[in-house]
Amino acid sequence: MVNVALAGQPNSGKSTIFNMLSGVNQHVANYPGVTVDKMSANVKYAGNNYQIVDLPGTYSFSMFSLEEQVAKTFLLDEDTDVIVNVVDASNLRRNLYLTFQLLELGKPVVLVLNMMDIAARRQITIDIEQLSLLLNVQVVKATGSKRLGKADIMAAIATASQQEQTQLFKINYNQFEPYLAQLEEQISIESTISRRWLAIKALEGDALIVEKTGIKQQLIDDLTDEIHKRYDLDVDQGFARLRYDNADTLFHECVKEHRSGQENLTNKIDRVVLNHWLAFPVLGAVIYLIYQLSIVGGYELTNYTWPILASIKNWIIGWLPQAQFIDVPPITDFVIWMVNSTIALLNYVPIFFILFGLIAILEDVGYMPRMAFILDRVFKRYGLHGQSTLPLVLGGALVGGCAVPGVMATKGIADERARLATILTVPYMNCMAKVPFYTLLLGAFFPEQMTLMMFYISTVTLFIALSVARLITATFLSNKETAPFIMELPAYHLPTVKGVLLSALQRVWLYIKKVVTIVLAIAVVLFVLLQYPGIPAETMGQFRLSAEKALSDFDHKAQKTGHYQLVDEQMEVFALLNLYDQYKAQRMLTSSKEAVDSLDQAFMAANPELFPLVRPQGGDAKKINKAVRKLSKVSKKIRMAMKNEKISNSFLGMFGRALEPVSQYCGFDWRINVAFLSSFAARESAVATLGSIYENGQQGQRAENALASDGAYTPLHAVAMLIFMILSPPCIATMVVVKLQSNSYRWMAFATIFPISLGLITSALFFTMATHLGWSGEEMMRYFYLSAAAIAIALGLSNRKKPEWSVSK
Amino acid sequence: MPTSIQQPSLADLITGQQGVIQDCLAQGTLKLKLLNMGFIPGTKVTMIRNAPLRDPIEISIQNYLLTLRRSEAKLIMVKYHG
Amino acid sequence: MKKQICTLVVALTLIAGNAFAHTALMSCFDEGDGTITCEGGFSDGSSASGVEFLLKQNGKTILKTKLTEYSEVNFKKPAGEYQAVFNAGEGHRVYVDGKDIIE
Repeated sequence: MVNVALAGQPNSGKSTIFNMLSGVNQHVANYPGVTVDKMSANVKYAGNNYQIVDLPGTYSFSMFSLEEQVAKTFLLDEDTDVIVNVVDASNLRRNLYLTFQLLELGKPVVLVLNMMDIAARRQITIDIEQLSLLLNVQVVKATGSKRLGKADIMAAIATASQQEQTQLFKINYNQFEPYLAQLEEQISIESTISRRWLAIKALEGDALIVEKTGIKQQLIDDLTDEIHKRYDLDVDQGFARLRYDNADTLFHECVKEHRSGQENLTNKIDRVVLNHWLAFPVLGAVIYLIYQLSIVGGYELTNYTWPILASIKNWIIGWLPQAQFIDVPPITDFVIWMVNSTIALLNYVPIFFILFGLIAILEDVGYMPRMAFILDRVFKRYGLHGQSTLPLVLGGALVGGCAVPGVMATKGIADERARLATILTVPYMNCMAKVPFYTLLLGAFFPEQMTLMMFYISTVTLFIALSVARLITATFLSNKETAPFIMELPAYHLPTVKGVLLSALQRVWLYIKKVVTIVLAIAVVLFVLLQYPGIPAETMGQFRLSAEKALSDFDHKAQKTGHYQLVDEQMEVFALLNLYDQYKAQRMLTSSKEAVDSLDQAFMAANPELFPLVRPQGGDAKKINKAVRKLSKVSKKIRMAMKNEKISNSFLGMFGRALEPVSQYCGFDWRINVAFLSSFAARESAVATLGSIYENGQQGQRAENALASDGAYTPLHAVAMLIFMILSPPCIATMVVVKLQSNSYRWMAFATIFPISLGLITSALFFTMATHLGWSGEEMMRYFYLSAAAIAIALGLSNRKKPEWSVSK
Repeated sequence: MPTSIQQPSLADLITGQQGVIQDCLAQGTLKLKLLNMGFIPGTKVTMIRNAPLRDPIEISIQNYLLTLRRSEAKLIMVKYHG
Repeated sequence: MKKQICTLVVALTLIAGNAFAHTALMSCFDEGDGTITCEGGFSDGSSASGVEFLLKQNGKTILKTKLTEYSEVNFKKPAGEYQAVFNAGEGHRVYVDGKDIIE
């Protein structure tokens, strides 16, 4: 087994090379403790196994970024046999900066000149032999995007792995040399890395290396001071200068550029894309396109995938112990619950697949940094980054989106602080799934002003998101360092189909593996919270009475028909009822005539006696069929009432009652609390949740009268609920991805508690004000909206107290 | 308007103008990053454009394109070229 | 007032969707007795009762009602071409053409 590490600068096409070498069997993991992806693959070549790890792209091996630390740690700790340095052939001088540092490690290196096609187009010629000679490494040409060079690279790796002695590559660091020698002596550890490299890094002040090698920090400080005094040189600048000088020399010896000052394709495109007038329309068009294709288009796709998922569910239900009228075996209940949860989550896969594919295309093409370039000035004021655009849009800007892919899209944001701020902000955007809720409430309480209200709702989220971002970065995140904005604008190039598909599949798989599993685990807990302690005996008795009545009703009707002997026993009645329900469920999913026919045949074959009663021909059969239908309705009704009763008495229900002292300020009585809580968990919560809770509470008083004596629900209540809904977190899955992307349970807890608290406080505030000041529902919403807008704008305009960057002495 | 009377900075270049880097006054993380990206005294840079909202700016250095905020560009001293 | 309560109730139960988020669904079939039954729902099992249901014909709305507490609606089969619409808001609408509704 040969261990190979792929290293190179960002935008050098390293991932494409990795894809080319590794095929599809890539393994994605995490470097311990951080959210950086670790890509590895096992490649067989000429009878040997090669374990290739794709290190994160780094410009250098300094200290400041997470990627650099990860790459460095990997090379230090793991035993790498060969380093493959992927380099952008049309940008050799800058790429050599990293190359030198890799060569200094003292391990066998293979230099891959990638993007040879672009170099050719720019009429750049590279003297491969000379380069190879001067650097003392094998140099291989490749064009990853066209799948050229795989064999050559593997052959070079094979040769390098068998190299006996690596002649140490040395740059003459002039004045630093004696100091390096001094430090080399101080290194106590054994390592496959060359001591010289360690000494260089130590002198440069790399805390990680200093710690690992056991060199005293004091010594470093002394040496640095001495250098500064003697030569008036900064160690950092000194090394950088020397490296670049050497790179220059090499460059001039090996590279000929026939055309400089090129007006190439990238420049031409940028003239449009980054044009002062066209930039925003282009940006808008791109975002609109992504949104349409993924959210809207993906949604369409689910119309086809859903029936498949639902059939699987029905099939599973067929295997479970059957319900006995109103008694549903707990195991059945539980399995149905879990299956529903699972398919609800899986239903999102088509949308995400398209979305991740589009994001991959956008990343590969090179448009992302340009997006950041255009919008950075606005986002910066709120503690966000230009690259926060896409995540926020995906979360739902103006129209409904989904926070799950939005948060997952924060991966690429360079600035750690802005990245966290974005992760915590995306959930405030317009969640798609909240729309039916809004529609219903608005339809009931604001039928004439629906458009206006929807406008308020869909635009207020952006103001809230920006304000929260600013708030968070000013307080909770203020201790995090903000990174420099400096960003490379890569040349535009066409993405590879393979690369895009791989990326999309990997991310979808990540969703399934990490998000779905955790949400399902939570679903189990919720089930318990809702099932127990269960329905009190007395109430259960009442339900049983209703059940008995319905059954005897059915019995009477069935007796009048000629098919009575089929259903004279109770078990038979249950069987018929279940058959009817199952058939109906399946039937709902089939649309074509052929499918219906084959469904009928299948059911007939399995239930020759009872099925004719489900699809009746003939008067008698139709009578029983009608009775069964009625029975089905009644059983559903009783079961729903039972469910509500169960929820109301469950642990969750008790919690709702306990919350009342607090929630009453929002206008939420305990019934609304229970409804909120139970609906957060019990998706199959019956329609009459509130109604039946009321009815039970008022001992049979009709809902109207009950409420009349209670005080009606007014538009103000509705707005309070809307405000709470706008601010509260979208779904459990979102919380899970927040944890994944931030790598911290603390932030996940914060992302759950803070919005809920904010929602409660804000809706309480506005509800109280509206009640005392006599506002109408629309006014309450309007003032909420204006406040949010005002806060956002004020925060944006407020001056920062200190400048971001200080000048050195 | 130049940042100081004596030395213009990268932020002072207008579109299309070239400059040669003289000095880098940044500290810490920013300095490291600038060094890594090749902002060494003696290197030629060209100002390509402003962002639509005027900040950040795009420059070309050696053979590639970089963007940086004006606040960062102000710390890089240049000499006008050509 | 009762209408408002019911709606409130139903709306709250729809928050259910927020635990997991959902797609809107609707299936219809011909009962064979001159009526059509359409059952609506959401992919995560949320109840769709109270959600608006419309019948459209020639650009006009010939029926406007809400789904029952069992998330379904039963109506007389219109003559000619028509379209059944389940309307739970922007992005949550389902359209079924009359000609696709079979027994």
